[in-house]
Amino acid sequence: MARMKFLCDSERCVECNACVTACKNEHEVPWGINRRRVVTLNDGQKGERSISMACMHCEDAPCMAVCPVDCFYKTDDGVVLHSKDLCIGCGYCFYACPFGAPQYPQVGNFGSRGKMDKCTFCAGGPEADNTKEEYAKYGANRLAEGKLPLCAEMCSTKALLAGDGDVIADIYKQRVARRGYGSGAWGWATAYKTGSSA
Amino acid sequence: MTIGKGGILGAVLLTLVLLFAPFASGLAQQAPPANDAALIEQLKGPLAGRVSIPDAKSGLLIQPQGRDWRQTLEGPVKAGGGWLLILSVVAIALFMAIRGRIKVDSGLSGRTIERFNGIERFAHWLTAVCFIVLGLSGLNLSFGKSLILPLIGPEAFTGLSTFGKLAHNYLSFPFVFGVLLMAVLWIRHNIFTGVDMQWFRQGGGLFSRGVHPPAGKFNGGQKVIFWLVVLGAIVLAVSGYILMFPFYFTDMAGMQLSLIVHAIAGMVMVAVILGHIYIGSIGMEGAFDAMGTGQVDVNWAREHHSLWVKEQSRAGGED
Amino acid sequence: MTNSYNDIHNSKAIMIMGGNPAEAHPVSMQHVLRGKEQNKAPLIVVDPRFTRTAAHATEYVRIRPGTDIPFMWGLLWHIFENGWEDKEYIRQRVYGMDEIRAEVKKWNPQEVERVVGVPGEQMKRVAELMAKNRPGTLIWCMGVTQHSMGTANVRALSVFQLALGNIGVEGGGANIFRGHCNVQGCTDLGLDVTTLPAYYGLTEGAWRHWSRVWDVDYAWMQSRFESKKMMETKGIPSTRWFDAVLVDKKDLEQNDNVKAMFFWGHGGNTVPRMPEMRTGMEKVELLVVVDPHPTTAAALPDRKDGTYLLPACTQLETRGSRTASNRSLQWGDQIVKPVFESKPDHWILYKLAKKLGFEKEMFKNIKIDEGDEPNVEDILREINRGTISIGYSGQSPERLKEHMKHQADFDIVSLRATKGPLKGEFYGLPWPCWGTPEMKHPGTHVLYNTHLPVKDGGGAFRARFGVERNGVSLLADGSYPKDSEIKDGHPEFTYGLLKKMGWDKELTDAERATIERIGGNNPDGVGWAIDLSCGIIRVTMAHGVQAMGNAKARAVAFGLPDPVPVHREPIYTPRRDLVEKYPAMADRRDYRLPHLGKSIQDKDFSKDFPMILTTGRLVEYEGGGEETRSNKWLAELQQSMFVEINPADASRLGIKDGQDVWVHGPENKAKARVKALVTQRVGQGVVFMPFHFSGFWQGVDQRAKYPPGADPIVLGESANGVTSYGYDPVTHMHENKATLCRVEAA
Repeated sequence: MARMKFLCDSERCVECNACVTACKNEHEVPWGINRRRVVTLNDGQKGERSISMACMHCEDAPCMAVCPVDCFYKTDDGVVLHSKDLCIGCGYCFYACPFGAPQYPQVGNFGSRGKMDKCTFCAGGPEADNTKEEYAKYGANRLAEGKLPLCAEMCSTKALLAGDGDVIADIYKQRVARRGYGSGAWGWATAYKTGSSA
Repeated sequence: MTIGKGGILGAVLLTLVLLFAPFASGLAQQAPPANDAALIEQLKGPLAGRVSIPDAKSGLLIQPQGRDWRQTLEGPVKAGGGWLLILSVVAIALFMAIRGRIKVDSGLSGRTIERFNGIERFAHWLTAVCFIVLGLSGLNLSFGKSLILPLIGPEAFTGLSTFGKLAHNYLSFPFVFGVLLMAVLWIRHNIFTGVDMQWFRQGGGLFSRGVHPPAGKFNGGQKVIFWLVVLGAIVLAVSGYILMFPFYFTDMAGMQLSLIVHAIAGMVMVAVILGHIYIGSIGMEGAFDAMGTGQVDVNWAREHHSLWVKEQSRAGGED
Repeated sequence: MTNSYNDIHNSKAIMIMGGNPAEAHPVSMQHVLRGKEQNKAPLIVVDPRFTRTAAHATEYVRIRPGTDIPFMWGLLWHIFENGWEDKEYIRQRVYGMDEIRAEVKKWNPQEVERVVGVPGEQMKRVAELMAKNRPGTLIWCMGVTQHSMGTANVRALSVFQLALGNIGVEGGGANIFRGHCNVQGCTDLGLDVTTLPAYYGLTEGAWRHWSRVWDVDYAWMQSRFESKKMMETKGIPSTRWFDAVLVDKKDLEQNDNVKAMFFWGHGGNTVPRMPEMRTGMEKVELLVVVDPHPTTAAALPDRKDGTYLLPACTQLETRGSRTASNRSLQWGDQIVKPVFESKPDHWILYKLAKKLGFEKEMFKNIKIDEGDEPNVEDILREINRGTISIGYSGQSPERLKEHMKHQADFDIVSLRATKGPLKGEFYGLPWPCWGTPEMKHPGTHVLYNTHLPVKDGGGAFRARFGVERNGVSLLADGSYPKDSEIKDGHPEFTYGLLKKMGWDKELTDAERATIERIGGNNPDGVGWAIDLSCGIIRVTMAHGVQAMGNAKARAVAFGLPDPVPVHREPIYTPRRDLVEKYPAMADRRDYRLPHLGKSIQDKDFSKDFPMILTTGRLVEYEGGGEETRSNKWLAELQQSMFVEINPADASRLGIKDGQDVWVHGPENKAKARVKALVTQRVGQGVVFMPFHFSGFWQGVDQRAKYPPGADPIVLGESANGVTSYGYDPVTHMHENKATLCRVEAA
């Protein structure tokens, strides 16, 4: 069984935000909820790097561990999903997540959060595949249609790779070998125990 | 109470955050895994950068300390808190078994004296009721998924927890009000004096019959409870309100720290209050009346709060 | 582009100057970065700003805005000094390099550092990188062209590539990334006010050619104009239309001021001097906006009457051919039906022509489909018939549709189909695709490439400027396309030359008849470019010869201002010490208007406006930004207009990141209130503003002026609300990359 992963090659990412807009449009993600974002480190200086980041679908997912109501589950493909019916919007997963993935709509008084929303690897949620209910809560389920996440499909420089972890790691390794240098697969060591050998 | 950015609370929060800053930065400076470490080294800066969207916290790219936070919370905090609570209950049970219910040695006189007036009792019970709900709903977040979820199923548990979260948020306000009221009403009675030293030396008379060290309105033990409650409530309130207004006052490290502090303080408070509840109810004859009707038996009062009774007599407070 | 995006995969060195493709052309970066990675090619980014593209550079060079020529000559100084130029290439294929050499000699490392701000050691490093890693591509964009000396800049960059022999080779080229869907096509088809379609110019010969193509009487065409003189006079460019409204009538080379303005797919906020443009908009009697969105033009002026918004649909709502940056044509299908009551541009044109009473002539050979929509296949066929000069003639709708169908057969680097029915053709038949569709020319991937036969996509420089000048030959010397029967330079082909070569017998009767019909009493004078039969092309191609001749490229562009490009300080410059030595061009006239330079530069604005202001693009928005700022996903990503300012300047001016500031321009009390973005992207003394915003005017929200529901999600001050005068002498391209401003905390 394929083990799905994301890999952002910062040598390639140009902060075009195509991934972000693709995600937003595909899943109708409202303003203020950013399932994916591009962060630029060392802005305007030598060594500037932009990295597209979303849920990395960790091997031993901290969000799953800290959720007080156990609303997370992991698919056979290694995709970390959650049930919005069970989520109570406590925010613990956001503190635990190394990648800032969980997002919350602001609801009600104080800083009160609504149901958590995050990248689904375009794999929907617990509802039946590609139903209206599933779309309303989690967005499109491309994986069920045999497609890969749209963010990576739309990446203008093929910086963002999504798919079977072994396959994308191979693509990346080849690139690094060809270049003779590589700045590493961002977040892999944090998200996946196996890390990146690149 | 009002909460404003520039208010006292803000100052307190800041102090608290500064106080715990060493801990927070300890979290932040955990060595990241080797692969990323090289990159971070190469970038010579934090793993936070610029984003164009107006959400400052989204600029934090990778925070491996999230995993450490999870280990701390799911490991030492929950284990330590759990054991603390279990040991507290065991200790109370042992005390009860050995010492039994503490009687009024000289028997009940039948005459009473007003120990707590209406406002005092209101303050106490407001705080108490809130605390029970806050404590239970708080413990639910820590232990519910292991203890209750398997019993009632995920949907019911989410319903319970949602209700718990709402109750926890809203009841925090009357709770803080209650504690403040008690603090105002009783702070002058809770200054430690030489008398309290004697009380402590004699173990408060808790462990031996017929020993009743002198005490004012509050004995040394009660003063300890008072200060634990007041200070504990401040810690809980400050960390709690930080949590209730996420990222309004502090950053990721501050939020993580607040939750750890809140959890530890909460569990310590529950343990302390368990003892308080025991001694104030079934643990000691005549004690409950103080907060029940507000009227206590004079003999009980003489044994436990001799100086206060004298004071009351001089003031003509005895009926 | 002389080459293509894909061809960058073959580049051994990549230099990007005055362009930020990471934001303006993100997809192109896939090719740039692949070239960089696969060939370990140095990626040199030359820009006043450390852009998102610069972040990927192996060498970033920060120049002062407006010093492109000194930079280029500074590089060539090292190249000539070290003998790194391609001497054989220059001897065979370049005219006038010695005159360039003389100018370059002045740009020693000290002078370059003084003017440009780049140290000699870095200049030498960059020159060596480009010289030692060939072929290298030179990519540029508006940072080079949008200057008061834009044309000279472009020529200097081209000369640099010629000196290194980088033109006409795979992996080389002068590659200008175009900015919009089909903007290359618009340029080719005569959007420019100086020419009829396909760069034929405005001469009588050009008009007669196009009258034949359109199948209308030349006399009738001439009768549409006030005079033959006006018919052959350059028009007024979109950068300066408001000057033609506002200047005194006697300063105009036409009988009256402009009374009506059509904004057809033009944002209004993309060209400088908006305070005056606004006055112009208020003064015209008729203002028409043809656009999917109301645009700045509809929201900026205070006018109640005489304004018409004609809703045009987008390219996704209509179909037809589009020309990409690399000259490839693609056939686009309609993706969605036009939303609301919007209509395709050609529908609107047809209706307009009908109202004006010349639709019969205009659409003579174009079928009008159901719903009064001119048939786009017929439109392309008409284009094919007339645009012989640049080889737009072979890309019939049928061939283009085949290309779309067999996309998978094309190689992604060479662009050539490696299998299937189109084997051997280049994707999208990049022009020149010589002759008629039936001649099956494969298109030209790399321009002027002598390594391929003409019929296979090879070529040479066009012999457009005669055969000699002052006794020096302008024709190529011993260089010729592969398999050419003429092993040397030669002039453009005419029927007469064809006869001289004895090749005229190879023409078909029909071809000869067409040529003779066109030529009238002088058939020998019929050139290949007006030969509607394309017979001359067919026959010469069969002999391996390029009908447009085989000449040298002109390093010295005689006939243009500054034939050898020389540095001229921007007319608004803070470097008063350089003004005397490098003055702006003297005031002159062109495009029916006065054209100022020196008289403005003579005034010192640098005391009140000490900062250099440059403008550019953001990845989220496009052009005037009306369409993209109305897109909720893009709008979320850039919610407010800003000015980038260096931390040192910001701290000196007491400006914090995110705070509101006023940016004041040097003309017309221009000002804009925007947010400060404190960043090291810009150097000290330089500020940058993106130009996609509009809907705020000098601090005041204009949202209420938009028709209800048509206001974009994000509004902001326009950068061009504070930019100033400055026009290229050749094209009247505006200057909005180097002016002056003052920034103050709001």
